[in-house]
Amino acid sequence: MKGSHEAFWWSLFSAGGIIAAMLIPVLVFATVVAPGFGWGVFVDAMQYDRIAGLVGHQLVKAILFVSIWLSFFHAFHRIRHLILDLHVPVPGLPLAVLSYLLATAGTVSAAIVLWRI
Amino acid sequence: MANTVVLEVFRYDPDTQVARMQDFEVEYQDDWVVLDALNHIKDQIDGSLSHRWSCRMGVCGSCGMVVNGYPKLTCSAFIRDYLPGPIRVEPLANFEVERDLIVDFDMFLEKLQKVTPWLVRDEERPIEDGEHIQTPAQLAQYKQYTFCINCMLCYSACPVVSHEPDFLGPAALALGHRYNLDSRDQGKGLRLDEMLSSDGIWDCTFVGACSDVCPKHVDPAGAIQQAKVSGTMEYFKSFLMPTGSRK
Amino acid sequence: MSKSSRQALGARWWLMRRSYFLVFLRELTSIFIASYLVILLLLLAKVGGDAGSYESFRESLTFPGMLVFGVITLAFTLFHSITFINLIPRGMAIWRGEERVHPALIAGPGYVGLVVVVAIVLVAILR
Repeated sequence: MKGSHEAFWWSLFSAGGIIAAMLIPVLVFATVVAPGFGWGVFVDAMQYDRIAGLVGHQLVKAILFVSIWLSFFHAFHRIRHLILDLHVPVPGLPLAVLSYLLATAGTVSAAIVLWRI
Repeated sequence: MANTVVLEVFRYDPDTQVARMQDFEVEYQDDWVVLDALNHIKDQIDGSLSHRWSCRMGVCGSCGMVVNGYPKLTCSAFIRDYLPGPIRVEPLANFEVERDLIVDFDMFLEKLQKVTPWLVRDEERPIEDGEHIQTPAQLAQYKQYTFCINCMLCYSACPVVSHEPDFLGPAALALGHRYNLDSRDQGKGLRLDEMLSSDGIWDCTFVGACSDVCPKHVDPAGAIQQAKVSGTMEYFKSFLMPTGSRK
Repeated sequence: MSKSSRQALGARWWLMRRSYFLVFLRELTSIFIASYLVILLLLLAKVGGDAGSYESFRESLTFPGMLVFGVITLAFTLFHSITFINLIPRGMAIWRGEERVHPALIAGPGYVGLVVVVAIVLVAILR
């Protein structure tokens, strides 16, 4: 193959796209929108003890890590191509490196944050 | 009172390198297409107008132009759908203009050649052995992608072709995919070298405009996405089975 | 013959047609997804800390500015879900004999999956 590793990033993009499609809207709703509108059951659900209890499970942590990892790679792959499609005069390789570095930073942060819970 | 419509036509003179729009008021019949109007202009009003056309029935792919900002076969663009006008007629986008509405499509032909758009065999089947046997189900797999008439409307619609001049583009990639799916073909490895390169399928961001404008419903965007899926599987396979050949 | 004036589609292609603009919005969802992930990470980071700092962060999430951001983000992330699920069938050619499986038979399960995941998450959070 003529040395293109795009397939690798695209596979992360698609896997992350499916996960983000399933998971992100309901998380946005439950953590920001519903409590923001003062919806009682969601305000209660966001209490420290309840959230800590939920996220404390190893299984939940694992699901959260995989979801955040893949969603970050999905998002930054798309952001990278959006910048290219908007004809922003950025050289291709540095843009790709920066995009996936940022996604990696997000992934590593997720690992650290979840480890500390 | 005859029906007339104004056509705003792109004119380009390669000798002076001057580009301009020229208005023509054209008396039209109810069943006319834009191509009829262009031919009328050339015949009756301004013989210097240059444009390509041939079959006038949507199968040759010669008369592609941008009509009111949208890539169309002008033989299939009915005047009545654009009334009251004016109707803006421009050459296909993303191509060098040779003259007026005529574009230089060498760019497309070079890209098309890169995907080896013919059946490749390790060894040619001898005549005495008869034809390749192919079931209707095998034919169905690639049939949709055989309908491409090389009209290049898809290249005109694609934003990636616009900013990545080396991008192989919708039609070339769809045709490469067509041969990869053909059970008689043994040239996948050859094609994938080009299709999976950085100028190949990976430049595509699935805008999908190519499929929207395709007059033969080839769905090049779908072909490219399928090639991405199979290309990704090939990629991971090449790590797991590095000595395996690509067939 | 001298040639010039390549009529490029141009940098503002995404403003030229409604279909192009919808694609632009679809690509924009990535920015909202990334932004929410950062907020989620901050929230989880506070969970790993003490209850006090968590509570003040949780409260800041309910400020009007955050609510507006939340509603917009919810709209964009839902738009991602819909467009992504709808596009999955285009990349998968599944054949039953000479007929291709209808795209709805692939997108349908995608939507079912979405509903199931939403239900599971809501149950997990609310019980």
